[in-house]
Amino acid sequence: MSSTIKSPWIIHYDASSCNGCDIEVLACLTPQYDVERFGIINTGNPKHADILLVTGSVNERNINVVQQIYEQMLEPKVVIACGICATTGGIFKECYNTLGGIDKAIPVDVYAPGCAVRPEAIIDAVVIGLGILEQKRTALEQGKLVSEKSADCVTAADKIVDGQTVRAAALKITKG
Amino acid sequence: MATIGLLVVLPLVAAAALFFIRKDSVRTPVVIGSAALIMLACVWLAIGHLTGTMEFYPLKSDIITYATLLIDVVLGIYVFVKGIKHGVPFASVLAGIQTVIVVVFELTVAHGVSIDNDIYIDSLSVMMAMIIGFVGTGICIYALGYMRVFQEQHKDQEDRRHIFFSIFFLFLSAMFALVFSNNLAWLFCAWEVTTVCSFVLIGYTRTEEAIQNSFRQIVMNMLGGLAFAIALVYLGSAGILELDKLINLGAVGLAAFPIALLAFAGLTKAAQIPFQSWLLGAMVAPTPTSALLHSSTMVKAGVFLLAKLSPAFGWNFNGMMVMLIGGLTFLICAFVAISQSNAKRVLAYSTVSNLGLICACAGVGTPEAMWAAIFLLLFHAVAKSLLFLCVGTAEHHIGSRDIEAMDNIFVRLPTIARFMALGMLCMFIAPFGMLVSKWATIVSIADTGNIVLMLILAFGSAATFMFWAKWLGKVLAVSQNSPDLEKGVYKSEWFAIGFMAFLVLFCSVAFPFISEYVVVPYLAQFEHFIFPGLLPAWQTISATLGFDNLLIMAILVLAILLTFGAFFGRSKKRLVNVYMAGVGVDPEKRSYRNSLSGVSESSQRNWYLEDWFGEKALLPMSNIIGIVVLVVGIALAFINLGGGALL
Amino acid sequence: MTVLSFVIALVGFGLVAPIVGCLLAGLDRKITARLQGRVGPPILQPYYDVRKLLAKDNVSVNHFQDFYVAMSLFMAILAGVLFFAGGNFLLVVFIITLSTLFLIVAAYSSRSPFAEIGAEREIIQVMSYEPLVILMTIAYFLAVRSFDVSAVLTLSQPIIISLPLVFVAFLFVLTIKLRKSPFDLSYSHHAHQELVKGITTEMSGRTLAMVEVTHWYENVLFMSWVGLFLVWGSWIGVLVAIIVALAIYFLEILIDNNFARVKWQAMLKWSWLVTLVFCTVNIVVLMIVS
Repeated sequence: MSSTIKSPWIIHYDASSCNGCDIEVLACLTPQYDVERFGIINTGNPKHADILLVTGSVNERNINVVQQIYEQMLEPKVVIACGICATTGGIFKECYNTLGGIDKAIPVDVYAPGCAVRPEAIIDAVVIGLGILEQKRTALEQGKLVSEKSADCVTAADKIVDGQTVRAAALKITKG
Repeated sequence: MATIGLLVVLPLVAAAALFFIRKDSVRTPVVIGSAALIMLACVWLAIGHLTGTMEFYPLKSDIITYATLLIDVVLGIYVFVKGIKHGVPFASVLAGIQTVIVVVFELTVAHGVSIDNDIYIDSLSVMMAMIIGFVGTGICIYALGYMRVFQEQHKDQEDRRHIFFSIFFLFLSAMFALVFSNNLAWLFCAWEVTTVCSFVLIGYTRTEEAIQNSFRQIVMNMLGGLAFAIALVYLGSAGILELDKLINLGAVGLAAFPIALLAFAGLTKAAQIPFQSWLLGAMVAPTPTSALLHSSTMVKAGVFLLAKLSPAFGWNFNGMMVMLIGGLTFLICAFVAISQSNAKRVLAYSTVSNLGLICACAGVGTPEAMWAAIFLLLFHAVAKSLLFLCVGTAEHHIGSRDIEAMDNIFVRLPTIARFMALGMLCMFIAPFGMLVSKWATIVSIADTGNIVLMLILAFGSAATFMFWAKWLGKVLAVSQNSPDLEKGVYKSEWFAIGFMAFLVLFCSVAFPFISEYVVVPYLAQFEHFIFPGLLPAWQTISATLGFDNLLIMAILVLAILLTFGAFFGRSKKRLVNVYMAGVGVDPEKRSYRNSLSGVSESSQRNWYLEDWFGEKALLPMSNIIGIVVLVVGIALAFINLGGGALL
Repeated sequence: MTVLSFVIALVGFGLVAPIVGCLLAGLDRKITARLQGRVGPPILQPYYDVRKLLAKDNVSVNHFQDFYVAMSLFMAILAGVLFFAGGNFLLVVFIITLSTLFLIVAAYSSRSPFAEIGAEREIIQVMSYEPLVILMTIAYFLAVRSFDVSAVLTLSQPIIISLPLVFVAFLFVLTIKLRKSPFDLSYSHHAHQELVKGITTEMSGRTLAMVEVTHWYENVLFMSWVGLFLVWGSWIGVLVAIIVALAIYFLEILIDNNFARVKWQAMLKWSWLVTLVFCTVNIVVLMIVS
């Protein structure tokens, strides 16, 4: 087990969420859930972070911001869509002004649905994310990592069944 | 002996020649040739005398004495006429009084005094001569390129560069005379020549501001000159007109008052509070002038005199006066430098502040303090001239002397910025020269147990860190793509800047050896001045600071340079843009998309903390304190409390 | 300071200090968590963090930052080695300042607005604590009659007896030196909105790992300065010094968790005032007594 998964630093971005999921993200840091047990720190800086937690359904105003933050993160990195809005667009899915899901903007690794997403689900998603992070780290070490750009995003949220936290299916980590 | 004569005459001849040369094509070889000859003469002098003991030469030349009198009178008349012409009667009055005193003195008092030795030579004066010879002439060469650009940028003004260069060399000649004169009347003449030379140089551009500031300079320095003249009369009537005899008397009894007056003259020339404003005003002059005034001439004449008198200072009122004025200046000017954004003003305040430290060391008067004073003088000369030359060239190529305009200069003027950074490092951080000298200052002050100076040093050093570090940061900021503006820099400028940088590095690396073989033997001569039991003997200089510690510093300088050469900028990392909260647009301009979807540029200014450290907040009070200290100090010396009264 | 003591200190400090520093940092996070009613990360968390940073991708905002950060690390190690080799205390102080300067320059070099704010605040922090540090070395000299750190081992009683007020003033600025709240202006863990990460905003991967390791070295050095006040010519002194240093470290954590960040004005004013009053009184009394 490498140090990478013992020290996942996160950055949290609110892409037009109703704040419900954001409060739940912050709740993870409280003594009740205390994610620092797992070495998780909320850094607020993409250059330091390993995991990007995005909430909200993304609109035309903030798609560029999400993409820029994503691209400024260093490999290996993992994106977690927190809440149903971030996953599929949720109740705003058909709205003219939203894109309907983070995976329309950047490649997503893990989906954590819920309205609002429960802290347990977020922790669950981070734990799944850690597995991917470790795979990516190994790939990076071997020089095989496919460094995804925000344009490479694939919509995979359709696979979600019964509100379970899932790993994105279309994930392609290593070359060849 | 002949070399000393050569050093005085050579620049004089060059000055005379340059006065009649108006063509660049002729001027360039003359300036470079004279500079090379002066440097050679300095080297020759150093080979013979750098590590030697003090030597005296009885010249006994009446011709020179009459010549100095003539020069004094001519200078007096010149200033008198200028003062009347520009409506500054006060300057004329001062010049008049001074000239009358000197003439009466020479024709009456001085005749009765027999002078044994007119000229002397010791390690300190040789070192000073080398500073003048290398740094001063280097600046002359730099001025060739700089003044060409200056003239191009000020086409409306008459081309008076022949006067400019002529005065430059005259200045050097006077400085050489100053550092070797043992005859106080000769010393006074050289002293006045430097005053008038800088008067002409400051007023060179003939703008209203320049003329106003040049008169401020002449009035303040004439006050010092007047004090010098009175000291001459006083000493002459007592039958002592030689510097070494005066120093040997110490600040006891008879010598207390004249030494106080000479110290006052030194303080005015070194631009100490309350006289700091003339050096600030001198910034209106073209940059080579500033470089010359700050590094190797003028203000250095002031601290040189104080350093010479240093054995007579210590725990007496004269020493206290110099110590307090120096300490106050060091502290206050370091604070004020924080509040300045004009690069040349920052340099000026830093100069005044460092000179304050040198004066304080001279005032402390222990061998360790003198050691520190001498090295502060040396490193300040080389590093400050490097900085001035860099700022001058940068000003011509980025069009501003404001520190904020130097953003990204690291990419726009890569070589200049690196040299500038070197100069700054040398000014305030270990392991470079100034800080090691300051280290010795701390040691010597800890030894004497002067709590006021301890506090001043501690807080002043913190302020020094602040104003240098923030400027250094600005200079070293990097963006990825910016145009290179360095194309138009003249070769003469490159040569001078490179030469200064070499001197900075050379002195930093050779530091322990200069200390061991030049300065410590020099100080050994003054052993008998030390109050036994109270202060450690000179031998402990090496013990307290430690030759090994000096060596560590020198090695560190080398190590930093080598790693700098080997790794600096060689990182293979992939480059990315800076974080702009996810809304960055152009990293070069640091622009971002604002809340109205437009593009805004972000800018970042340094901190100047004006409410705390501004000129208005600090200077009026400190000027008053300075005046009080000076008046009380000289009054105490006058009623002859000077020597030993504190013990 | 002999070559032998230098080599021993080089090996000793070079290898032991990062371990101690790492454990101290881990302890800090653990105790902080306990104070907040949390379980907290494992004690080796800082080590995992650095290991992770080393495995990250290699990117930078310019080609110069790495050099500055590496020099900062190097100078911090050198300062510690000189200290434990019994070298000149002032030399140690100057070199650790040089280390900080390199970090400041590294931040400036990125030309990032956030890093620049951090760098300028760091300069203010240096300006706040530098007078005390210089006066502390002078007071040390007055108490020991030598600037050498090794001289403290020849004493018959610890210098805290003659320098109690200087010690208190040092504890005051120690909070600034350790970059702990209420003086964590330049590099805060809790001010994302305002500073992002201050000085380290643009440092990532290996560069950031170097900064973390520099902090480990620095913290050990600063805690040894605390110990310096308590050591005398006996092995009990070393024991006392270690216990007191740990107690002081706990105190700093307590302060960190109980105070909100202050503005720079308050920091500068208070640290200068404390320095001025405490050091002056202590030094004057010391000079009168001796």
